[in-house]
Amino acid sequence: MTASPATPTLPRLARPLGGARFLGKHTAMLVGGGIVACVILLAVFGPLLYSQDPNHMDFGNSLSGPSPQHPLGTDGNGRDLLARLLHGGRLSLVGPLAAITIATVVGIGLGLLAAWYGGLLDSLLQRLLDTIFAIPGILLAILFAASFGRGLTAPVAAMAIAFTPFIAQLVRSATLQEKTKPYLDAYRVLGFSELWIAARRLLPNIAPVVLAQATINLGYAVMVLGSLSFLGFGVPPPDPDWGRMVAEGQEAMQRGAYLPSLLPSLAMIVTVVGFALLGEGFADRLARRERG
Amino acid sequence: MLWFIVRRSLGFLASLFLVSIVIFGMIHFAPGDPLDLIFEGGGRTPEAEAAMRARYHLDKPIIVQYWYWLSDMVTGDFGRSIAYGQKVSTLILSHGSTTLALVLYTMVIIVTVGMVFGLVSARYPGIVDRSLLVVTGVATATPPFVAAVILIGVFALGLGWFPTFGEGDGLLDQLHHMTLPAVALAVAYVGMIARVTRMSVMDELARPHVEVARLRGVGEATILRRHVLRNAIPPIMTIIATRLGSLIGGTTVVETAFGISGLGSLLVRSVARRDFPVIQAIGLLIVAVFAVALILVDILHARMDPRLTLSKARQR
Repeated sequence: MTASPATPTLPRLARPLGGARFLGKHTAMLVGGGIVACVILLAVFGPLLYSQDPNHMDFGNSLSGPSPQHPLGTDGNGRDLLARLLHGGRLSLVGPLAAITIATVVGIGLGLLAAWYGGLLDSLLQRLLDTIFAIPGILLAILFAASFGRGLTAPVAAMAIAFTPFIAQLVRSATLQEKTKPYLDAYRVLGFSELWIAARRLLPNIAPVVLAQATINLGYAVMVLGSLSFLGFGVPPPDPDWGRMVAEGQEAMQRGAYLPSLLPSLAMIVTVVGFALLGEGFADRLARRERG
Repeated sequence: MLWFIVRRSLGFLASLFLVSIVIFGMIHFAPGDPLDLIFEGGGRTPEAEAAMRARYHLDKPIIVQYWYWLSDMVTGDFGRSIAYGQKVSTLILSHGSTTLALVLYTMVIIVTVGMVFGLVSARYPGIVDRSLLVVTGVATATPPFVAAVILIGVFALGLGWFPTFGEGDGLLDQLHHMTLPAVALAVAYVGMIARVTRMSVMDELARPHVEVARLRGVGEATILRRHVLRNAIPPIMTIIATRLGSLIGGTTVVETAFGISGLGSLLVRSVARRDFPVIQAIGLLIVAVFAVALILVDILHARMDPRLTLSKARQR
């Protein structure tokens, strides 16, 4: 019960939608996967199919409602909202994707090292991870923005660091669990190298859980990057991302136009729900299979 | 127990020490010369530059600089804000109470609403539970800045029930001004706590000691209070404590959205102005508060769970 902050409570807190099982056996995963697939397809192909310039300003036509030229209307600077929403999707997803990829790779490495060798290395890594855990992700990103300036680099670097402990702790405990099983020793007796055993026999067994956690983290990262852009530290203007669009929409709202802030807000919520459902549905399926 | 507190506090100091290195290093290795800021108004001569370097110890090795900085921090001297010219400690004190009020208000909402939702969900399976799960699921996916803008749109601009800006004067006015910001900050965590409460209450309700209590004829309310909640609260507290860091981080967003001048919005403005003494102090403060909260929860755990102290007693 006297847990250090990051250990046994982590899997639970890292699963915001825990209990989505009510949706039925595979529904959560299917719905989540469907949402994620749609969002990614729209972000990748949307800007190609809908070729309006998201940064073209038309001050004579600001805050106009939906029309044939502008299917979702325009924002406070007369820019086409649909184009900004689609391009914004790209920028809102690319950063988190990069950050989570780095965090997952580094986290797997650190977690494996800690669990495989144990001892002093393990204690040192634990302290390091606990320290990172003690800095809220958004604070770290703000501090990075302070020293590196605007742009995607600072938030991506900060999120990569902030999300590494989640993966590392998961890999560490999963590896410790696997290490009690005899098959790893069997390979050792057969003379395979430690690295080969870890990479080719252990990793495939823990990969699904890690993938599930990485998917959940991706949703969190989308929220963090959105918050940063909302504060003006994310994607630099004039390029749109959802967080920025919400911030710009807040001004438009004072002038009675709700769409410019509402659309990116909804896009963000739907995307985060999608990643959470997909990740947790996957995790639940794994847990069920484990139980048999 | 004492040994436990000592050990946790040492771990806390070690973490804080590492964090201080990170924060110091980050500012130090940031591109740009800190002297650029000082000589922004001109008057940059080699002599003046050397004098400034000596004054801010920039001519010393980096370890020495860190030592000066750390000893100043430990003795409560956070330096002067470059943008405001005031002492950083004064700035923090004048902005801190607003943020503290906001965080406490938010916590009250999170704990009461979250636990009520969770209890209702666990006690009424079926349609009530399902609809609450959808609501709380969407809530957890709503970051504070989205919640803030939607709340402003509906309750401030649309219905006109609440002000959109500022922190207000006097207790009632302050509560009125703080309500929307606190709700905006609470939304995601209410969803999270509701789900955790639901799960741990359901786990507890299914356990044999509850069955036994029911067979003994203990009233349902007493069962919930004494046999279910007492066991269900520790995991809920842990979640609240572990999310406290991101909650405090969220004040940056909410205070900016609602134009409240607290520590969060001060941090955001200071980053935009590259006012490093203020950034460093607020950064360290947030980390320290978060770490203290984690330790307090561990201690509370030990106090709330008699098994922990009992097993210790038996060992002796």
